[in-house]
Amino acid sequence: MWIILGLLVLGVILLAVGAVLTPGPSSFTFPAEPYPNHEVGQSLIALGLTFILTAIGYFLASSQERMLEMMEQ
Amino acid sequence: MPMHEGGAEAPKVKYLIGKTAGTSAAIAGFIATMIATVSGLWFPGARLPQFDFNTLNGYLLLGLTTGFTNSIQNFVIGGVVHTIDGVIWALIFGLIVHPALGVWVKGLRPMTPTVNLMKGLIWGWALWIISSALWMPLLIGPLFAPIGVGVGPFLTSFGPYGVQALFTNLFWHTIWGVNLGLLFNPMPISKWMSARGMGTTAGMG
Repeated sequence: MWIILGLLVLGVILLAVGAVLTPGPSSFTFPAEPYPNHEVGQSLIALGLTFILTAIGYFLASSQERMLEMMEQ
Repeated sequence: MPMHEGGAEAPKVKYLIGKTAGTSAAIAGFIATMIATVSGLWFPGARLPQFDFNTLNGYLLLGLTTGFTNSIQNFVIGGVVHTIDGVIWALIFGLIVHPALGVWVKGLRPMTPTVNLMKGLIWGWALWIISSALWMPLLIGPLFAPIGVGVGPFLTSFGPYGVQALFTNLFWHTIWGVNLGLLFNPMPISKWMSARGMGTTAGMG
Protein backbone atom coordinates (compact mmCIF):
# COMPACT_ATOMS: atom_id res chain seq x y z
CA MET A 1 0.00 0.00 0.00
CA TRP A 2 2.82 2.44 0.93
CA ILE A 3 4.66 1.53 -2.27
CA ILE A 4 1.59 2.45 -4.33
CA LEU A 5 1.09 5.70 -2.44
CA GLY A 6 4.79 6.60 -2.72
CA LEU A 7 4.85 5.97 -6.48
CA LEU A 8 1.64 7.95 -6.93
CA VAL A 9 2.80 10.98 -4.89
CA LEU A 10 6.20 11.01 -6.61
CA GLY A 11 4.51 10.78 -10.00
CA VAL A 12 2.07 13.61 -9.27
CA ILE A 13 4.88 15.88 -8.02
CA LEU A 14 7.01 15.23 -11.12
CA LEU A 15 3.99 15.71 -13.38
CA ALA A 16 3.03 18.99 -11.71
CA VAL A 17 6.56 20.42 -11.90
CA GLY A 18 6.86 19.28 -15.52
CA ALA A 19 3.51 20.85 -16.45
CA VAL A 20 4.55 24.17 -14.91
CA LEU A 21 7.89 24.14 -16.74
CA THR A 22 6.52 23.15 -20.15
CA PRO A 23 5.30 26.19 -22.05
CA GLY A 24 2.22 26.53 -24.20
CA PRO A 25 -1.25 25.05 -23.99
CA SER A 26 -1.63 21.33 -24.55
CA SER A 27 -2.95 20.64 -28.02
CA PHE A 28 -5.70 18.10 -28.69
CA THR A 29 -5.68 18.60 -32.45
CA PHE A 30 -4.48 15.76 -34.65
CA PRO A 31 -1.82 15.88 -35.89
CA ALA A 32 -0.75 18.06 -33.01
CA GLU A 33 0.96 21.27 -34.15
CA PRO A 34 2.85 23.12 -32.92
CA TYR A 35 4.47 20.79 -30.46
CA PRO A 36 5.54 22.23 -27.11
CA ASN A 37 9.24 21.73 -26.54
CA HIS A 38 10.89 21.92 -23.13
CA GLU A 39 13.50 19.26 -22.42
CA VAL A 40 13.33 19.22 -18.61
CA GLY A 41 9.58 19.89 -18.36
CA GLN A 42 8.54 17.20 -20.83
CA SER A 43 11.00 14.71 -19.30
CA LEU A 44 9.41 15.30 -15.88
CA ILE A 45 5.90 14.90 -17.32
CA ALA A 46 6.89 11.59 -18.97
CA LEU A 47 8.59 10.30 -15.80
CA GLY A 48 5.68 11.47 -13.62
CA LEU A 49 3.13 9.69 -15.81
CA THR A 50 5.33 6.57 -15.80
CA PHE A 51 5.34 6.49 -11.97
CA ILE A 52 1.57 7.15 -11.82
CA LEU A 53 0.83 4.39 -14.33
CA THR A 54 3.07 1.93 -12.47
CA ALA A 55 1.23 2.78 -9.23
CA ILE A 56 -2.17 2.26 -10.90
CA GLY A 57 -1.03 -1.07 -12.37
CA TYR A 58 0.31 -2.23 -9.00
CA PHE A 59 -2.94 -1.14 -7.32
CA LEU A 60 -5.04 -3.12 -9.81
CA ALA A 61 -2.86 -6.23 -9.50
CA SER A 62 -2.82 -6.13 -5.69
CA SER A 63 -6.60 -5.59 -5.67
CA GLN A 64 -7.04 -8.71 -7.78
CA GLU A 65 -4.77 -10.60 -5.41
CA ARG A 66 -6.79 -9.47 -2.40
CA MET A 67 -10.04 -10.35 -4.13
CA LEU A 68 -8.81 -13.89 -4.76
CA GLU A 69 -7.69 -14.22 -1.13
CA MET A 70 -11.09 -13.00 0.10
CA MET A 71 -12.88 -15.48 -2.15
CA GLU A 72 -10.68 -18.28 -0.86
CA GLN A 73 -11.77 -17.69 2.73
CA MET B 1 0.89 -27.92 -5.40
CA PRO B 2 3.76 -25.41 -5.45
CA MET B 3 2.70 -21.93 -6.52
CA HIS B 4 5.76 -21.19 -8.60
CA GLU B 5 7.32 -21.88 -11.94
CA GLY B 6 10.36 -23.92 -12.68
CA GLY B 7 9.81 -26.59 -10.06
CA ALA B 8 10.31 -30.27 -10.66
CA GLU B 9 6.55 -30.66 -11.00
CA ALA B 10 5.10 -27.91 -13.17
CA PRO B 11 1.85 -26.57 -11.75
CA LYS B 12 -1.27 -26.48 -13.87
CA VAL B 13 -2.21 -22.89 -14.53
CA LYS B 14 -5.23 -20.91 -15.63
CA TYR B 15 -5.03 -17.69 -17.63
CA LEU B 16 -7.12 -14.57 -17.37
CA ILE B 17 -7.59 -14.64 -21.18
CA GLY B 18 -7.33 -17.74 -23.37
CA LYS B 19 -6.58 -21.32 -22.45
CA THR B 20 -2.88 -21.62 -23.31
CA ALA B 21 0.17 -19.44 -22.76
CA GLY B 22 0.37 -18.75 -26.50
CA THR B 23 -3.21 -17.57 -27.02
CA SER B 24 -3.18 -15.64 -23.76
CA ALA B 25 0.06 -13.84 -24.66
CA ALA B 26 -1.11 -13.12 -28.22
CA ILE B 27 -4.42 -11.60 -27.10
CA ALA B 28 -2.78 -9.69 -24.23
CA GLY B 29 -0.08 -8.44 -26.64
CA PHE B 30 -2.65 -7.29 -29.19
CA ILE B 31 -4.63 -5.34 -26.57
CA ALA B 32 -1.47 -3.89 -24.97
CA THR B 33 -0.11 -2.80 -28.37
CA MET B 34 -3.39 -1.17 -29.39
CA ILE B 35 -3.69 0.76 -26.10
CA ALA B 36 -0.05 1.90 -26.14
CA THR B 37 -0.18 2.87 -29.83
CA VAL B 38 -3.34 4.93 -29.46
CA SER B 39 -1.95 6.52 -26.27
CA GLY B 40 1.20 7.48 -28.19
CA LEU B 41 -0.94 9.37 -30.70
CA TRP B 42 -2.61 11.21 -27.80
CA PHE B 43 0.67 12.18 -26.06
CA PRO B 44 0.56 15.83 -27.30
CA GLY B 45 -2.57 16.22 -25.14
CA ALA B 46 -0.26 15.73 -22.15
CA ARG B 47 2.33 18.13 -23.67
CA LEU B 48 4.56 15.22 -24.68
CA PRO B 49 6.10 14.50 -28.09
CA GLN B 50 3.76 12.46 -30.25
CA PHE B 51 4.83 8.80 -30.61
CA ASP B 52 3.45 7.53 -33.89
CA PHE B 53 5.05 4.11 -34.28
CA ASN B 54 2.61 3.26 -37.09
CA THR B 55 4.00 6.02 -39.30
CA LEU B 56 7.62 5.24 -38.37
CA ASN B 57 7.11 1.57 -39.30
CA GLY B 58 5.47 2.67 -42.54
CA TYR B 59 8.50 4.80 -43.44
CA LEU B 60 10.76 1.81 -42.76
CA LEU B 61 8.68 -0.43 -44.98
CA LEU B 62 7.74 1.90 -47.83
CA GLY B 63 10.57 4.46 -47.68
CA LEU B 64 10.30 8.17 -46.94
CA THR B 65 9.31 9.28 -50.44
CA THR B 66 6.37 6.86 -50.72
CA GLY B 67 5.49 7.41 -47.06
CA PHE B 68 5.29 11.19 -47.43
CA THR B 69 3.20 11.07 -50.62
CA ASN B 70 0.81 8.31 -49.41
CA SER B 71 0.49 9.13 -45.73
CA ILE B 72 -2.72 7.13 -45.15
CA GLN B 73 -1.34 3.97 -46.79
CA ASN B 74 1.90 4.51 -44.88
CA PHE B 75 0.01 4.78 -41.55
CA VAL B 76 -2.18 1.71 -42.20
CA ILE B 77 0.59 -0.58 -43.50
CA GLY B 78 2.94 0.59 -40.75
CA GLY B 79 0.17 0.02 -38.21
CA VAL B 80 -0.33 -3.58 -39.32
CA VAL B 81 3.42 -4.28 -39.08
CA HIS B 82 3.67 -2.53 -35.71
CA THR B 83 0.72 -4.52 -34.29
CA ILE B 84 2.21 -7.81 -35.50
CA ASP B 85 5.53 -6.78 -33.89
CA GLY B 86 3.73 -6.11 -30.60
CA VAL B 87 2.02 -9.51 -30.65
CA ILE B 88 5.31 -11.29 -31.46
CA TRP B 89 7.12 -9.53 -28.57
CA ALA B 90 4.22 -10.56 -26.30
CA LEU B 91 4.48 -14.17 -27.49
CA ILE B 92 8.22 -14.17 -26.73
CA PHE B 93 7.30 -12.82 -23.29
CA GLY B 94 4.57 -15.36 -22.58
CA LEU B 95 6.39 -18.42 -23.90
CA ILE B 96 10.02 -17.67 -22.97
CA VAL B 97 10.67 -14.61 -20.80
CA HIS B 98 7.83 -15.02 -18.27
CA PRO B 99 8.74 -18.60 -17.29
CA ALA B 100 12.48 -17.87 -17.50
CA LEU B 101 12.21 -14.94 -15.08
CA GLY B 102 10.53 -17.30 -12.64
CA VAL B 103 13.51 -19.66 -12.87
CA TRP B 104 16.26 -17.02 -12.68
CA VAL B 105 14.83 -14.70 -10.04
CA LYS B 106 13.51 -16.32 -6.88
CA GLY B 107 11.32 -13.32 -6.04
CA LEU B 108 9.56 -13.64 -9.38
CA ARG B 109 8.57 -17.30 -8.94
CA PRO B 110 5.09 -16.92 -7.40
CA MET B 111 2.39 -16.76 -10.05
CA THR B 112 0.38 -13.94 -8.53
CA PRO B 113 -1.10 -10.84 -10.20
CA THR B 114 1.53 -8.51 -8.69
CA VAL B 115 4.46 -10.70 -9.76
CA ASN B 116 2.91 -11.11 -13.24
CA LEU B 117 2.63 -7.32 -13.44
CA MET B 118 6.30 -6.93 -12.42
CA LYS B 119 7.33 -9.35 -15.18
CA GLY B 120 5.30 -7.38 -17.74
CA LEU B 121 6.94 -4.15 -16.60
CA ILE B 122 10.43 -5.70 -16.77
CA TRP B 123 9.76 -6.85 -20.35
CA GLY B 124 8.31 -3.47 -21.30
CA TRP B 125 11.37 -1.69 -19.92
CA ALA B 126 13.68 -4.17 -21.68
CA LEU B 127 11.97 -3.31 -24.96
CA TRP B 128 12.33 0.40 -24.14
CA ILE B 129 16.11 -0.14 -23.95
CA ILE B 130 16.08 -2.14 -27.20
CA SER B 131 13.95 0.53 -28.90
CA SER B 132 16.04 3.47 -27.67
CA ALA B 133 19.49 1.89 -28.03
CA LEU B 134 19.01 -0.10 -31.23
CA TRP B 135 15.75 0.32 -33.18
CA MET B 136 15.63 4.12 -33.25
CA PRO B 137 19.35 4.92 -33.76
CA LEU B 138 20.14 2.05 -36.14
CA LEU B 139 16.97 2.02 -38.29
CA ILE B 140 15.14 5.33 -37.94
CA GLY B 141 18.33 7.43 -37.66
CA PRO B 142 19.80 6.48 -41.07
CA LEU B 143 16.33 6.64 -42.66
CA PHE B 144 15.81 10.25 -41.55
CA ALA B 145 19.44 11.33 -42.10
CA PRO B 146 18.86 12.55 -45.73
CA ILE B 147 16.20 15.02 -44.52
CA GLY B 148 18.40 16.26 -41.68
CA VAL B 149 16.50 14.68 -38.78
CA GLY B 150 18.77 13.00 -36.26
CA VAL B 151 18.00 10.49 -33.54
CA GLY B 152 21.17 10.61 -31.49
CA PRO B 153 22.65 7.92 -29.29
CA PHE B 154 20.00 6.28 -27.09
CA LEU B 155 17.28 8.55 -28.51
CA THR B 156 18.71 11.67 -26.89
CA SER B 157 18.23 14.07 -29.80
CA PHE B 158 15.27 12.98 -31.93
CA GLY B 159 14.45 15.87 -34.26
CA PRO B 160 13.78 19.01 -32.19
CA TYR B 161 13.68 17.02 -28.94
CA GLY B 162 16.35 16.26 -26.39
CA VAL B 163 16.17 13.65 -23.68
CA GLN B 164 12.36 14.04 -23.34
CA ALA B 165 11.91 11.68 -26.32
CA LEU B 166 13.78 8.98 -24.40
CA PHE B 167 11.56 9.37 -21.31
CA THR B 168 8.39 9.58 -23.43
CA ASN B 169 9.48 6.31 -25.04
CA LEU B 170 9.84 4.90 -21.50
CA PHE B 171 6.26 6.01 -20.74
CA TRP B 172 5.02 4.39 -23.98
CA HIS B 173 6.69 1.07 -23.12
CA THR B 174 5.42 1.26 -19.53
CA ILE B 175 1.85 1.52 -20.89
CA TRP B 176 2.55 -1.59 -22.99
CA GLY B 177 4.20 -3.47 -20.10
CA VAL B 178 1.48 -2.66 -17.55
CA ASN B 179 -1.27 -3.83 -19.90
CA LEU B 180 0.67 -6.96 -20.85
CA GLY B 181 1.44 -7.79 -17.20
CA LEU B 182 -2.17 -7.27 -16.09
CA LEU B 183 -3.71 -9.24 -18.96
CA PHE B 184 -1.18 -12.08 -19.33
CA ASN B 185 -1.89 -13.31 -15.84
CA PRO B 186 -1.29 -17.03 -15.25
CA MET B 187 -2.27 -18.37 -11.85
CA PRO B 188 -2.19 -21.89 -10.39
CA ILE B 189 -5.49 -23.59 -11.10
CA SER B 190 -5.79 -24.46 -7.40
CA LYS B 191 -6.03 -20.74 -6.62
CA TRP B 192 -8.99 -20.32 -8.99
CA MET B 193 -10.72 -23.49 -7.84
CA SER B 194 -10.43 -22.72 -4.14
CA ALA B 195 -11.46 -19.09 -4.74
CA ARG B 196 -14.63 -20.39 -6.38
CA GLY B 197 -15.34 -22.75 -3.50
CA MET B 198 -14.49 -25.84 -5.54
CA GLY B 199 -11.73 -27.18 -3.29
CA THR B 200 -8.18 -27.86 -4.38
CA THR B 201 -7.03 -29.65 -7.50
CA ALA B 202 -5.83 -32.68 -5.57
CA GLY B 203 -6.73 -35.66 -7.67
CA MET B 204 -7.61 -33.59 -10.70
CA GLY B 205 -5.96 -34.46 -14.00
